Amino acid sequence: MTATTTTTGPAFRERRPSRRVPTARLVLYGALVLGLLATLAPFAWMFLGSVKPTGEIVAHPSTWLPRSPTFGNFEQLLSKQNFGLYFLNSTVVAVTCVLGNLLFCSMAGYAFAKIEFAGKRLLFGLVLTMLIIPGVTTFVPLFVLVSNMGLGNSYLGLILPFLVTPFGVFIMRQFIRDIPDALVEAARLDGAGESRIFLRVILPLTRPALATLAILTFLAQWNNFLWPLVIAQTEDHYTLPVALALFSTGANGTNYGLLLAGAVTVVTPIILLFLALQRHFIQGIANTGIK
Amino acid sequence: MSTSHLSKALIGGLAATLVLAGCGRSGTQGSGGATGAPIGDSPAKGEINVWAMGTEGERLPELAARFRKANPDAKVKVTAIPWQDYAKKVETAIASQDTPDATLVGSADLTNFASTGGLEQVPAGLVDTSSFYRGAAQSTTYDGGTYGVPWYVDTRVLFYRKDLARAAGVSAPKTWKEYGPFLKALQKQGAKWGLALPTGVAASWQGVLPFMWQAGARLMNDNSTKFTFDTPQALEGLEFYQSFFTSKTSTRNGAVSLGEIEPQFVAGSTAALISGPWETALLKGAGGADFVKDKVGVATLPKGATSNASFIGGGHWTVFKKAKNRDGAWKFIRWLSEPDVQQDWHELSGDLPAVQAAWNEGKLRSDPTLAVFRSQLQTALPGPTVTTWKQISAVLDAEIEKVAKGVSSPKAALERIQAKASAIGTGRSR
Repeated sequence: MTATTTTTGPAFRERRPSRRVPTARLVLYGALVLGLLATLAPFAWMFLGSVKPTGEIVAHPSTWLPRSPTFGNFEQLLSKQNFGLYFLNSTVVAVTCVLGNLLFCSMAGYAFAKIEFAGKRLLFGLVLTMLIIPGVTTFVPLFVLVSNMGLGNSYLGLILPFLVTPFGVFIMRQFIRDIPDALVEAARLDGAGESRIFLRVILPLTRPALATLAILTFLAQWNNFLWPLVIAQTEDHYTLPVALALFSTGANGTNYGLLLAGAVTVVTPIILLFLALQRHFIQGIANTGIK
Repeated sequence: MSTSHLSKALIGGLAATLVLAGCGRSGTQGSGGATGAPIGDSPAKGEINVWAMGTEGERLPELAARFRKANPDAKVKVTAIPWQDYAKKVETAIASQDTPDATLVGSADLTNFASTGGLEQVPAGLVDTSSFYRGAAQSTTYDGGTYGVPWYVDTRVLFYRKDLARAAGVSAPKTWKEYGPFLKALQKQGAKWGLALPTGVAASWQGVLPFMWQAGARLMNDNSTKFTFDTPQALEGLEFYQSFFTSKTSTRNGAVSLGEIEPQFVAGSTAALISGPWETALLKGAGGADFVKDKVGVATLPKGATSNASFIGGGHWTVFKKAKNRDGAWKFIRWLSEPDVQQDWHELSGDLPAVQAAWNEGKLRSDPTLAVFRSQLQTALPGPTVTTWKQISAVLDAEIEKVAKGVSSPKAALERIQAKASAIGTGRSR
């Protein structure tokens, strides 16, 4: 008896602190799992719903798992004329905007962060002001402008207004400001010109910010509905969200099966892109957040 | 340090923007003006660019191909546009003066587009206004002018569970007096709720104004300069609406989203609902074709003191002032409102013809469900055609919800609606 108490004693004492940590951890992980489930549930619903017949999607009470799984919604979606073209349009617009933002926002950001020139503060103030003014107020004037430029029904009209964004300039400027001036000066002493400094010194150091900018720009353009709707004057310039709204949402009812199948098609590339850039993305958020 | 830099920069930027904004254009284009030159009888020529929304946009090219037979030199180019946010597209097109020739518009939105001054009035003698359903023609007018030609219509009727009614030994109600007992009888057969009524959702007013109309209320004076919500008739209508909730015939937490009510109706927990011609397809999707055949009854709305008026919606054709092929566009629209073309379109799309004469033949004449809609269309009315209706209907929606939830008396609600509607006005300077 005594032997057992002496042996269990210290073991008990030892275990106690180590057991307290797991309880705290358990609560933490429990909360995280709950949060994760809450975040994932709509996605799960979307993916599962896309393979259900319409009657099952709206059924009451609803079920998670499809009782009679079908790819009918996807077949219906893909049988729509030009669906491939809409996908291509979305890709062209989103990718071009990403490339434009990566190049021009980082160039502007570099100038604002590291080069002294007259009117710099006023110009940067204008950039910040554009961040503050809500997009809806400039929507119609922007459309009139683009349409007067004769870009009413063109890829350029879809892309040009978003090729550089004030938000992109802002985050690039903030990020580049943190790069030590000494690096830039050293490069200059070694005889590098501005473009060489920008390409060889600045750009490689801003990878996390560029990744963040790439994802956010891609997301914004990929999901953009109102601008493509308004600017495209013929169906062959529609992007995915516009085409999806055309096919699935009527004046008085929604084809939920088609809508969910479309949503899956639209969302999958974004998820893949995010997974690919995930590491940089989180690093970028953390870095710009510290500022 | 960086914050003060930022704020200084920001102030400079804002100031510069304000200066720039000061140069903006002010004032809006006026509406009105006379109608344009009449349209002749020669065949249409050239390319005619039209916008059509949703299913209509997807199906119209097939119909338009037939236009070409009689007009070999004309080519109708249809662009299909989603219904979602289409108003934004029409408005921006008008603002930039970069428009197609003609567009389909929702009947409830025509007033707003007409008020921008971007639409042309229908040329005199193009169509016979009296050939359309009265309610449809009424919603094409704005400020004394006619800006649209009705194409298709829809109206709301009573959908009820035929099987429950049969089991209870009751038939569809004809009057307000029979309304309540009929629904109660269905509830006795196991339905939790008798009738689904809109409350707490955008556009609830479309479900409530008919009660006021049925009681004899007119919501504006004769020349549409003043609102008249504070009448005994309007009160009677709103009180009748409230009675469904107080008698526990309708839930105070009505269906809030599209597609929510159908499963409840199929499950039998809600025994009746008020909806339009599109409802049949939705019920087929939710319950199957056999369910619709065996268990769904359709009837006109029960009559109040004055009428059984329902709400009328649908689509109108309009021509832009900046149309490049004005002549061709109007000729196409005139062709679309010929009775046999309207019948063809019904076959293609299922849309109900706006032209009354189109209903005298074939399925439109013989189908019993269509007959119910036909009868309902005779008395169906649109909402007031004023540009401020969006704002005023938002007030209505809010007050209606208070009445349904029992936190406001119908009388107090109507007084507030009248006061706010009068303050908002009709959007006209006169």
